Amino acid sequence: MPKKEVKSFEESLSELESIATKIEKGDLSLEDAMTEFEKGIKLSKECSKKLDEAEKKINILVQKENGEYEEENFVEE
Amino acid sequence: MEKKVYSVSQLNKYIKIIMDNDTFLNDINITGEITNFKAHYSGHLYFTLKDDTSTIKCVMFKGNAMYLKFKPGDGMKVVISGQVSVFERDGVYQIYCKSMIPEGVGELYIAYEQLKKKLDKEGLFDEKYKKRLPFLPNRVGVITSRTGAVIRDIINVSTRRYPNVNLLIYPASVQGVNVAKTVISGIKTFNKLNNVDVIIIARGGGSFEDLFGFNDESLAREVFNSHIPIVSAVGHETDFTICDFVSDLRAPTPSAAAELVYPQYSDIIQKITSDKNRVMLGIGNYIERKKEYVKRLKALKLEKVPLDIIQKHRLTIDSCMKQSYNTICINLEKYKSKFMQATAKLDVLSPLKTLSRGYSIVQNKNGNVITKIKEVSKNDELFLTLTDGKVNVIAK
Repeated sequence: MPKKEVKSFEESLSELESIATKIEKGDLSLEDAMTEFEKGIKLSKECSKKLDEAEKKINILVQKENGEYEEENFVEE
Repeated sequence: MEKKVYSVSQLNKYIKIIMDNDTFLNDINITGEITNFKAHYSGHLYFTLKDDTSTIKCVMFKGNAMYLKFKPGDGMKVVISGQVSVFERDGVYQIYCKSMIPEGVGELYIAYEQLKKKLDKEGLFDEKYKKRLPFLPNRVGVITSRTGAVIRDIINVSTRRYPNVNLLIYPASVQGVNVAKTVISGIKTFNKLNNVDVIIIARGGGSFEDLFGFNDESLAREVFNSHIPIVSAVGHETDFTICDFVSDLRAPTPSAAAELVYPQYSDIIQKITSDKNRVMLGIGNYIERKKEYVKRLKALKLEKVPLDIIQKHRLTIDSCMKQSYNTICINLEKYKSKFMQATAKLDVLSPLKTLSRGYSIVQNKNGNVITKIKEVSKNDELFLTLTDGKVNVIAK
């Protein structure tokens, strides 16, 4: 399934949120807090990057004579 | 001229030819009530259609009966389309039904209700089978007509919410007899290519009949079996199709489907930013709190406690010293008074006292005290101790 990557974005986002909550709660050891902090910053960068690196793409599936499908750029008729 | 004699089968064949060539009988709509209904195991349906005064035999072959959208039965008032023809073997004319719809209540509606009830009973609409939509899809499959407002709306709305949309369109027939076939093919294709993570099935608004292609049982089962979550957006808000019920999420309109599938870009950005800020602020506060804690700890425990201990020991020492001093003083006094008594006694017994009364001590040159005459010879040197010193004398 191509879900893996998408899930990781969603997971990253929710992990970022839980890290924020964890740090705010403040019952971590200093080492753990610093580790979580680094993780949080890394995640936020990754999430933003992921959002911006996708390109707009609108294709249409066209069935060829051999029955296989090919993608073509979709142009409104 | 003698009249020709024909056989029964020739007659029946002749009548059949006459009837079959009659355009009126060839394609006729008849209304009536079903009676003597029999569904043969072969799939053919046999029944009689009657009104108040007459009856006519009817047959519906499997090839037509399988397309019925409802279950006919005795007492049902129906409208039949078909051809009146002769069954040569029995010499009876009957209606060969091509299609049949319930009279009064729309056939489609009954069919819809029956299919809905059936699939619902099977659990195809159960909430527990609904797949969750991805939060942010990598790619969205759209099964709809490649022309018209629907695909345009989906593109516009999704792009407005999320600029970098990735849509893959599967062109399908959304009206007429090919709806189920092409939509099923779209679902199958996306599941096979496995290149989208959510599918939108979309069609604009229309009459109940227009949307009826989406009330197909095979289509419903294909939607149910899809591994990829499906959003159904068939018709408008008030239109419900079987496809809507069996899908993982029903969208009231195609535009709404685009909104359900794509999150608002600015919302995600805002969420990321706010979470990032929370992390930054959180760590700042955390460190500040830790610093404060260390400071407090230092003041409380590291500095105060040792001092307290020292202070305590100091007090102990002081009190010990004091106690020792007191003991020593008391003892000193005791010994002092004992010494005084002893001194007084000594004073009484002291030879000096005797000397002061006029006695003296006589010693020879060896220091021996002389107490008798015989201890002294003539010319011996003697030493007399007086109160204030010693005197040398010679014995005579």
